Amino acid sequence: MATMECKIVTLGEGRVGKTSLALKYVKNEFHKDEISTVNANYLTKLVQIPQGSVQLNIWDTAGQERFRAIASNYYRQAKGALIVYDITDRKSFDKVVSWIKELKSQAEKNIVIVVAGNKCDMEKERQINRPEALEFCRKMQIRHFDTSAKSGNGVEEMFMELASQIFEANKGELGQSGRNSRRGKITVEKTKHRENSGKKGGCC
Amino acid sequence: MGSGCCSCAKKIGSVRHKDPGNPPDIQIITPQDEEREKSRYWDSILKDFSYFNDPITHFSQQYPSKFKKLLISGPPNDLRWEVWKSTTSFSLTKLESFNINPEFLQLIEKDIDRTFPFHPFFTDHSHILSLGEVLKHFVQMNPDLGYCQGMNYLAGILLITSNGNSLETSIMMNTFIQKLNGKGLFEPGFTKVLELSQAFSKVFKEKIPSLYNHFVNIELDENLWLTKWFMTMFSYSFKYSVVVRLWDVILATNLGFMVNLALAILQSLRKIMESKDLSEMLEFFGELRNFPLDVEGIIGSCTSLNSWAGGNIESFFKDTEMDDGMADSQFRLNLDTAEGGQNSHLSVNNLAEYDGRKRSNSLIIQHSPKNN
Repeated sequence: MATMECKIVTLGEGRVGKTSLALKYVKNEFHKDEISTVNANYLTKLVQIPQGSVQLNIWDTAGQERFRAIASNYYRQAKGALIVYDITDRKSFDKVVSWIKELKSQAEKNIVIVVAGNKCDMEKERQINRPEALEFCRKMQIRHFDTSAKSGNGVEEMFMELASQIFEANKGELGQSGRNSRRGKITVEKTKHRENSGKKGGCC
Repeated sequence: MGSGCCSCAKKIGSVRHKDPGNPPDIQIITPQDEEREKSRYWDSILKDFSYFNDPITHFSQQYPSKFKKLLISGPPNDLRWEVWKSTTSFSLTKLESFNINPEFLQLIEKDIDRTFPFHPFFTDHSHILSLGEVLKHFVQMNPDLGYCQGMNYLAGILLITSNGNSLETSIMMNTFIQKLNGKGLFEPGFTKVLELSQAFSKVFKEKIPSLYNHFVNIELDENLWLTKWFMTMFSYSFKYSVVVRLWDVILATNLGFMVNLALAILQSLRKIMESKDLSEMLEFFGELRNFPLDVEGIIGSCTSLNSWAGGNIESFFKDTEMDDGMADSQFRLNLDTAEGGQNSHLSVNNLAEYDGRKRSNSLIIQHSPKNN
């Protein structure tokens, strides 16, 4: 079966749980006091889906606006984006809107976006009306997940969905070329010949 | 021990040779010995300058190159804060109450309890609050710069070093960034970080080509390690005891010297790193905080200092007066690292030598000086 390698990026306001979600999914770890991210982290996981397998190379970025200039390097060539907000923080949900706009205008045309309403273990402190969030995502034709990096709720399903949507969106290009960047910076896309020309290795 | 001189029998580096024809005596000095010796040395400086309000600052002004050398060698831990204050023209001023951009205020609040959460110092909630105070005052003093994630780690290191003195740390955070001309580490666009990274790449390729090529082959992105090292002045990735030693050296030189330090760190880890694939490497970078790094060896390899520079206290003032110029020239080669790391003559001449040197973390073998 075909294996597809792709880059995805986590985006969202500071302290909404981007790092925690990625860590929970990849390593099944949760730290209550996760150290705040400077610039970006990178994690990778091979996901089995019915159609094949997808290696998700996750770029987990810092939340602050100032890092956005750098973050744009990360979502360039990304096949998927996970936009996270904190259900107990109204402002973080407003940021989701601006991230979606930015991705739609700046990122790859067929980029798959999913939205995570994180910290759903803290339902009592919820500030975002759930139907409102769902309606918003439905209009945008984006899947929304209630997640908790703490309990693990929704995390696996969300990444699986991301992986299968990415697979579907890109399967036409599978096998067109055997040369992928290992980090998934470039995967099944035409620009990779230019990017990788003259470079040995990096092929999986 | 082969000392024939009872008055200095316990003193490191003051062993006399009875017979000049024999090989020099060797003493084994543990880090504890070294720390004790440093304290004794600095105590005598404090005593000699005790008629000044601020003995360390006066000492640093009177003997700048000796002071610089001692700073690179590392002050005793309990004096480090005072020494750092002297290097940054710290002066105690009254702080205004802060009135800062609420967006920065929120960011600060979000970061303070996840700054070194694993460090015992920050299990004390009052220290977390102090960290917030320090950062807010810093933003108050630098409204144009504002708050940027990463500053919290610098402030955290300073706060631990001051032993929780939030007033002094608030002032220090500002003088520290000023002294190092470090705003570019955090300004939008991160100009200084980019500048340093470019300077680094150039020398990295030239000085450690095998590791450079390995990084290229595994497609290791420098945003995942190097920019963090520079932006947080190593504090995000290394343990406290290592960070303060690197900062001693940076304060004695300049921010550009981080390029040399980064290179020396990689050189010391080259063999381990060359066997790692991308995932293993990233894991390793993430775990460096727990790695027994030979920080003294690393500093030695890029400053020509192999061990503590104090030497024999009895001859100190004589030495200093005579050698103040000399001491400087000994460092010139290395300290020439240009401001901002933009230069083509970074001194890393000792790196190759360092790689081959056997120097364990717990044991320092020091040859006694020839002339005493």
